[in-house]
Amino acid sequence: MLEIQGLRSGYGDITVLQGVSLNVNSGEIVGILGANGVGKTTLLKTISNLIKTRAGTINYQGKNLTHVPPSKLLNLGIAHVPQGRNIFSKMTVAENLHVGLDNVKKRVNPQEQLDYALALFPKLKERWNQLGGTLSGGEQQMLAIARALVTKPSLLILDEPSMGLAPIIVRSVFNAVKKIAQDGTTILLVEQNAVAALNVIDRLYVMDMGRMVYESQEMNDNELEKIKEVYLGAG
Amino acid sequence: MNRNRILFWTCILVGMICILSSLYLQNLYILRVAVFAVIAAMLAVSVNLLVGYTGQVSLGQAGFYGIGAYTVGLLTTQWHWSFWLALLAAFILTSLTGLILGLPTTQLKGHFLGIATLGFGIIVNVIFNNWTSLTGGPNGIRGIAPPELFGISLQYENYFLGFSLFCLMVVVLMVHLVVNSAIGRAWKCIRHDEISAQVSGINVYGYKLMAFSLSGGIAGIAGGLYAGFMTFISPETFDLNQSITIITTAILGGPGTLFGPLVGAGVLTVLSESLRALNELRLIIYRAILVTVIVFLPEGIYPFISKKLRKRGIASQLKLKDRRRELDEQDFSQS
Repeated sequence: MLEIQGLRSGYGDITVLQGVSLNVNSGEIVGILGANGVGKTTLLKTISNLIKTRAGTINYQGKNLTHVPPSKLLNLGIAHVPQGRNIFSKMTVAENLHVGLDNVKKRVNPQEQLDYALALFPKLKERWNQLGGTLSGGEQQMLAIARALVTKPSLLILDEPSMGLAPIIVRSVFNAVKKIAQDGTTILLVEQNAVAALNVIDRLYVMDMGRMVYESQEMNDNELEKIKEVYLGAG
Repeated sequence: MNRNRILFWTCILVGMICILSSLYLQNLYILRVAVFAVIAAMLAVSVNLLVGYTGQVSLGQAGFYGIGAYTVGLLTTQWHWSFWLALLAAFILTSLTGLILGLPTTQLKGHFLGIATLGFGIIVNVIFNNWTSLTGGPNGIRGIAPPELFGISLQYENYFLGFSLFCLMVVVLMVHLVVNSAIGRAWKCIRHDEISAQVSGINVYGYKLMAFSLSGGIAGIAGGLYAGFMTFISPETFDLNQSITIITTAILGGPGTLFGPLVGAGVLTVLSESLRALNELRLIIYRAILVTVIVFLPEGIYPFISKKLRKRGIASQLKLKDRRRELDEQDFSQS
């Protein structure tokens, strides 16, 4: 579904991604793990063209994405949930979700998508007319995911959904992620919280210094041991 | 919803009463001041689209104002167009100017955008001053014919005040409709967080251009009104000071609100007129009051008043932070 070859990008004089390759098959949850500052977020931002690609290709369903502006990606079925619960804090929950819907009205049935998102995150229905900034951290993350979900994406890109959340909330967010994948959305997930991520992902990449240093096959005990060696330092 | 509708029609009604009562004003001095206040309000509304709703700075609003005024001035005196066609042309031309100015400048942020728009305002002023064959240079343009409506000449201040109030009402109504549509929602998103706006599928660049264009167009109409009312225009009206007055009016009144700029224009006009007797000292007092207001009412006058009116609203706003902390604590205690 998504194939990335030799991707390079960065900020100013600094090249962060030093030739990243990765592929995501339809229906999978693919995780990218790695420590702070290895380029995980940069990779996601480059995919959605918030940062310009310097070399390499990004292919999505046979279409080259390197020059598609970020605002057009939703119409191709790619939704990006950026790091740090980027919701609109001075707008109500309802408004936040409608912003998501405004740009895809021709493609989806708004009511159906709202119902779907609210069934997944019933808390948001209780908070419907509250300002985004008054939600708890977990609720804000749910709102950010829901705002992406109402656009009916085929590929959902999540940038560290567990950031700054209490463990029980992390669990419920990841359960929702699992549910979304079961309903047919492919997911590309960046995480630092390896333990939480390992419970839901089908396949994973480990990133270091702007490169992929490890690519796993389907998850089994054998793989988990290897990952512990590579990523968790023989845990 | 119903409450909003009542509020909406009340505002329309108040607007109509203002327009009609302007015909019964007798004092010529007050009439002229009122017309200038209406023009100032329209300019503040135009800059509010950028500063208030989209989070862009414009220090060159007088440029659009001047282009609108000169378009009407030149088209009616040199080419003998009717005022109405010239006003339409002023709107179109300034909208286009806004669009063209926006093409490079919407890529800029913060101070850089401020400097770029400031440069635009100064360039326009320099052109007015030096393109003598077209604009008459520092002498300006004389003898602009006041507009006529159904055979009634609007050179009488009463009629002109009514007419300009009507224009202001139409503009405010237009802004109200735009900011409450998907466009307004997109602007609001851009003001809060551009990255989130982009990933929510908002074409940030396009929507900023739209704001620049509409803002320029409204300032152009204000310029046209000014030319029609004064029947004489010269470059010094459209200088940097004017740009700064415009942006101050909007910020003082309450940026990002529909009525803030109107309140700002009203307050500033009353203030500067009532201090007129103090001669030079008036500038000092005027600025001191401005600073005081901005320090103590940073959101602007209108939001302050409307919040006072809805005390329960403000109380809940203040509790926002407490409530968030409480919720986060709940999350942790559950785990």
